[in-house]
Amino acid sequence: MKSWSIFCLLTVLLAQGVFAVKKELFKRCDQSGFCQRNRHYAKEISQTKNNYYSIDTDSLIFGQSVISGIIQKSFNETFKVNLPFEIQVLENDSIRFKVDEDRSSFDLKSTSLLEKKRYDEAWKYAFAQEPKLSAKYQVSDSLDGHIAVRYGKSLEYSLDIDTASFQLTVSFDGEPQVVLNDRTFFNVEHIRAKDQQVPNMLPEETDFDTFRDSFKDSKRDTLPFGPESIAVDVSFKGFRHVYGIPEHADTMSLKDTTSSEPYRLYNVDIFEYETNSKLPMYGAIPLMVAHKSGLSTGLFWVNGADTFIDVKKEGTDTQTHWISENGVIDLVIFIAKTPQEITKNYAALTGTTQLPQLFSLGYHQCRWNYNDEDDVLTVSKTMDEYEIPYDVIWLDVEYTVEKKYFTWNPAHFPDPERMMAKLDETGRTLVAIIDPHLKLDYPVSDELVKHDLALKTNKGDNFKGHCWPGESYWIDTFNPKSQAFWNDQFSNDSAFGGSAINLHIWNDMNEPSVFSGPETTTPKDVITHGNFEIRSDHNIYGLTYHQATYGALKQRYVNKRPFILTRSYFAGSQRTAAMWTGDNMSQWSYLKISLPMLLTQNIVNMPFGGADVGGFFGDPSKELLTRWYQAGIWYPFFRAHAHIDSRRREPWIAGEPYTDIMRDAVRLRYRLLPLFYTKFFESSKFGDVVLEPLFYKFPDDESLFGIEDEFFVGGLLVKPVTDEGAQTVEIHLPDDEVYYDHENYSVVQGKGQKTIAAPLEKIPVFFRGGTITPRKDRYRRSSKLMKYDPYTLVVAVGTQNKAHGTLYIDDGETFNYESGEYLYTSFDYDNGTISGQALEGQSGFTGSVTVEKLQLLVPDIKVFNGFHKASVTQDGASWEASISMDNGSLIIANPKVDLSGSWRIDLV
Amino acid sequence: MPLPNLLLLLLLPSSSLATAYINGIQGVQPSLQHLYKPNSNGQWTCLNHPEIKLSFSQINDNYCDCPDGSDEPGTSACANGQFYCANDGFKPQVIKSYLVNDGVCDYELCCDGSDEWGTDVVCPNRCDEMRVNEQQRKKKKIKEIKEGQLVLKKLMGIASAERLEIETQLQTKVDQFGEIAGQLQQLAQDPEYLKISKDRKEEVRVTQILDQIKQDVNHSFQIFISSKEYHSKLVEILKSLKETYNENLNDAAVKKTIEDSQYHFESYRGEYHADLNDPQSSPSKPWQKAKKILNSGFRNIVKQYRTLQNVCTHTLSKHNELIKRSAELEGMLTYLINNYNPNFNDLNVKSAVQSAQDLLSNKDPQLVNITVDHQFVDKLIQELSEIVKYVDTLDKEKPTQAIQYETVRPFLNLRQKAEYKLRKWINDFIGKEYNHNLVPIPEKDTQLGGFSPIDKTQQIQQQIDQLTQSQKLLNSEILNTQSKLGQNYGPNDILRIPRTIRSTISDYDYTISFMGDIKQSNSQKSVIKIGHFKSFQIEDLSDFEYQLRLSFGNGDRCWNGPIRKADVVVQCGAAEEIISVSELEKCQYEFIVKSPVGCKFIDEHALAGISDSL
Repeated sequence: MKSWSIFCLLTVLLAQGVFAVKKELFKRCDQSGFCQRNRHYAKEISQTKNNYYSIDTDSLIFGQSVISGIIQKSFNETFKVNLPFEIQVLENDSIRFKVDEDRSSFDLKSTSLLEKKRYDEAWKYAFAQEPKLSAKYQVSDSLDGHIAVRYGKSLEYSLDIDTASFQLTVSFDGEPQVVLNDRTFFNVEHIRAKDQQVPNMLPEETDFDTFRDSFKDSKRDTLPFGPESIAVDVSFKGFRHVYGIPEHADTMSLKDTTSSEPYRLYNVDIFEYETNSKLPMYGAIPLMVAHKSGLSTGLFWVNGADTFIDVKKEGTDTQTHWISENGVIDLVIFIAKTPQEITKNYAALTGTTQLPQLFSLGYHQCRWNYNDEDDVLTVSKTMDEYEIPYDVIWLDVEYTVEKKYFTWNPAHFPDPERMMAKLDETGRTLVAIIDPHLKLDYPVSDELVKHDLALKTNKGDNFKGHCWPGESYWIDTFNPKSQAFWNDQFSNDSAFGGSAINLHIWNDMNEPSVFSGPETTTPKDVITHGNFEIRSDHNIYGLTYHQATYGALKQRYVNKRPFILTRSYFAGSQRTAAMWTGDNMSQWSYLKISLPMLLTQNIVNMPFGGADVGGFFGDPSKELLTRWYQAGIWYPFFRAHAHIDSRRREPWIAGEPYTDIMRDAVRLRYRLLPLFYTKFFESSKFGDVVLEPLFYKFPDDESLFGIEDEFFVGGLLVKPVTDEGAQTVEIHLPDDEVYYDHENYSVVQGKGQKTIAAPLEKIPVFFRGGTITPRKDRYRRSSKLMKYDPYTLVVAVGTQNKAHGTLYIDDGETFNYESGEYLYTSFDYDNGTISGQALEGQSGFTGSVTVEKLQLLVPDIKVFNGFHKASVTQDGASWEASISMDNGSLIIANPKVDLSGSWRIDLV
Repeated sequence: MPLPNLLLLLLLPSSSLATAYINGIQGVQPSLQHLYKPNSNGQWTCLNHPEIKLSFSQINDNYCDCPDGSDEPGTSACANGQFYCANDGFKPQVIKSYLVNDGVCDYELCCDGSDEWGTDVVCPNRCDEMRVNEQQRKKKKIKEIKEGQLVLKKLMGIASAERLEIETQLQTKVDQFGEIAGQLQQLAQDPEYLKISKDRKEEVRVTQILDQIKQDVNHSFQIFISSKEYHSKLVEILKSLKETYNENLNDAAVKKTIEDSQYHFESYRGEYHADLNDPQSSPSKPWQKAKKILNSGFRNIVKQYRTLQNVCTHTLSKHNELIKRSAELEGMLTYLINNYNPNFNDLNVKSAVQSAQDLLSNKDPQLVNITVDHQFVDKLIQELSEIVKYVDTLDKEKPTQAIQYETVRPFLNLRQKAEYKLRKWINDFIGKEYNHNLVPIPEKDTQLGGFSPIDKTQQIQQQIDQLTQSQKLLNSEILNTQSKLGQNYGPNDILRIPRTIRSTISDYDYTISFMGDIKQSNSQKSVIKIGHFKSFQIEDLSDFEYQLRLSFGNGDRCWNGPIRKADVVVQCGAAEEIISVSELEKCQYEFIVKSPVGCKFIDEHALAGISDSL
């Protein structure tokens, strides 16, 4: 009987077990001391309605656009904890609010290796520079304990500070929009000695895991400061939809978490992650965007510690509860008329996306692993045999000797420079992986130790853990001295890079991933530069690491934009790296979830992202792989990747008709590279999105706020097919504009749901009327080889008989655009006349600025009856170009206009 | 205004450049130049679309007007365009238009560098260098072919000798067969022999009963042995996982699997201990006991049928116990397969996962719990009793008398034959199925020993039996040899010689036997059959080369997947090696190998002229 019962038990576990283990690795809120304590506190305080926090009005100091003072946490008349705060009114009409803790009277053990103060450095990594204060600012101190601040161009914003009950209300046009501490969940766990717990706890608090960690893998956490969490609740008034706070494999519009786990931000190596989950993932951008018809707001929680966010939908409001393990409270509240402006204002604060090299917008071919030089060059050659354009081939960890970064396995890569030179012949680039763990006992890690640049244990020794190479150190890139060390590894003529000009870098495992650690990362009491526990800056580690790599490549190449792909990221990562959604699976549900995940990345101003085409783990069916390519060509970062145990799946493996269809998809991406490059320029310049959620274009139409499976890229409306066996798709047309099928130019019109034929070879894509899309239609082997090719402009004439578009051109690789060597031009169509106008830049780069074809799409081609030719005018000269009809569109052939100047074409 | 662009300078005057091109129109081969002439109106029509009229200046104006691409022979404007590289001093080439003016000197095809006439990229002529390279390449190729031919010829010699040998053997066997047939015919005519035919019915019946016993006893032991092997493989995977996994990698599924297996081994400590020490737990002990009974004479078998029955029952209950333990271990391994973290890439964990996948996917469907119902036992008893009863009836007729062969001959003969057949069967059975782990095959004479002196009829019967047996054997040998001779072994019988290639490729050892099996084994020495030879195809590539493709099927089943199969592409090479292996579809492999078998035979004359023909 005994054995029988064991068998039964096993069977039960098996049935539920498939994902259980992965969840078990990561803490739930109730297994995480600070999260459970704050959820408990929120629940209790909702009952008791007690208020322990208030502003000491005597402490207030008013400066220009700055108010500072003390918030007091009062246990009784005599026992009060002082929490210094500061409110800044920033330009772009945002409010920054910071709360610290006065720890001066607390005695830290003299043996402690740690800095006593709370961590207040997150903003230094997140912001592009010191934020600028607003010039427009008015403050009035009313007698009833309220302070009113008005700001904005016409003082249309106001901030009300309720000092007695400590509450901040931000209003726009007189209407309250964002209320901080609306539900009095504000909580700062102040410092105390372990034996002084009881007098330091409020009745609503619990002491669960204050000085210990009972989670099975974290029991050794020393928690030297005990409880030190910070939390605040923020209500968005009248906002039913909130977005952002990646990275989660979940819907674009965030869900109510009242009866589930909160969304967690804690950068971890979460393999085979689940979809529709609030589990943490590889990156963290703590920006939430709330949107309602007519107004958008943003809340940026500038904190790099383990963080949980509860979301509650309450009537027309969304109420949120932000809980971080430690650090200071540092948050920014944005309010603007449109979500795009929120993204832009956030971009102004944290920096825009680095303008990528053109090659990095091409197709990336990756797998773990291309085994040797011959393998790499054969894949490269086969791409050409099948006439599939591609730009980048990748090397995963196996190229090294025993996973020692900066080494090459001489048996497989005897002459990496030769290989890279061969790739460069056809304009191809190599991306090689370099991770932050450095194997013990080899020259690079010896040097790391010698320079004292490794992460430290809580005892001050170099931290050792396990990752790919076995026992390893981790570079501490919080330490500014790491940069010089890192630069050396990548320098020109180093053993690693030689003098190659086409080597760029993939930074993986930088959460950091530690196979031997709790939650697959370092223990939280590991010490980083500045004597802070990594508990405080864990989520920022990945950013410091890829920034160091960016810096090293910039030094190596001087005048070439480095391309870095990172798995872990934080607010600010967009300035130096692209991201991807990590280790997904070869299943339809992962193809589907990639769209909301990447739209979210665009909302939070890190648009250069992608998901592994085909799925990392497993083997996709041919249909899934094909559909994934058709969706993947719209990912801003377009890379196919596969696990070492997956079978080969380069596009030619599947055979016909799949290979043909995948080739067509990749070629479409290449034809549209001018559009993608222009969108990236606009993102880097203005903070625009690249993939545009429907509600960004139509912010007043509530029916679009939840749509996450279609999007715009410039003037193209795209609805990737993500269902197995689909022959049709339902597409939601967001307005009454005319939409032209991108292949046969047939017209769909009328707001709302439409059924569109979508057999396997069809990608549902439409030119929206009123837009002009630039393309380069000639097949070339790589994006670099398209340099000399002329442009095609597709003019999709709208219902107003007008159309508009833009185009950005530069050399595609250097920083010369920063000194004006680029061309930014706009095109307009108005009732039979097309004109072009250079907006900015002064050329000077090598590359084509000619147009070979204009293609005019109209709902009814008959409007062009009676026209016989086109008359072209530029620089005072005029000439003719022929016109013809093609499939219901009008073609103007070879107009010979020079895009770097103004020009005009009239149909006559 | 912006400076004029460099490219504009290069591309805009292209049409004038093209028309002024010194050798005619850019990109057009000399033999077609005459098609590129304007008519009297200065017009020109697309080559395959005479209805499309262009002005002559539209040729090579970098805009594609003709659907056939004929107006843009010198540019990349037409997707289907063709560009002619003169390559003076080497082979002229027609290249695809996408190679034109893309900034790359495509020397492989266009050694004169003329493909970049319209860009700022400078491509110096490299045709001389290419010509020298080509000559060297050709030399090397000829050398390879010639070396391959030498080995091939040797192999062909061996193959034809082999064939000759088989043909000779066949003739000998056919002759022998004829002789035996003659002898049998003679014996069958013997009057003594003709008498015994009426006993046949009873003989058949007893044989059937014995066959039934054979099957049952056989089955109970066979299945026990299989379950024992299967179980010990499961144990081995888990034990080796525990010993070899990397403890530093925090893989919860691996740790849980190991914990669960430890709990299992602990819970069944007694059973595992007994596996090692209890002779009853080994299949050989009870089998020896059963064998002893079955060997001890027919009468004794009848007497001891209960013991025999107990042995079988015990064996089956041991089997069931193993199946129960195996099910638990299977559960743990399935859990591991579904939940381990492949990203940690612990090779020992992956090896355990793979071994488990292969083992579970290829599990014998008979390895389930077998109900030791009494029907089985009853059947044995009943059937044995039937024999007892039958024999007793026979014995009653002459219970105490000395055996009178003359009078009771048919019955005694029958009984003796039954006993003889039983013992012969046991020996065959033991020898065939278990010689490696059970009992040694008894010597021929002891096998048949212990029988009473034989009378003439019996002698004839024995002779007929032996001759029939030999004839059967010969017959199957002849058929076998004939089919070997008749089978297609490829050109020059080249696949007739057994060839086996072994190589290690990315941690796997592969063994390919051309007309046999392909096997893969990993570092843990677990062997997987990828397939058995099915057929081959030959595709002629040129006068000197063909492609030989061998198809293999019916390999081991994959985890959650199909039966494995493979194609082997055999390329010509003097030495034998496996070049690559790839998995095209799930569990469908393609091997590229080099072998002289892949060389096409070239006669002396052709070989002499090879350098001109290549």
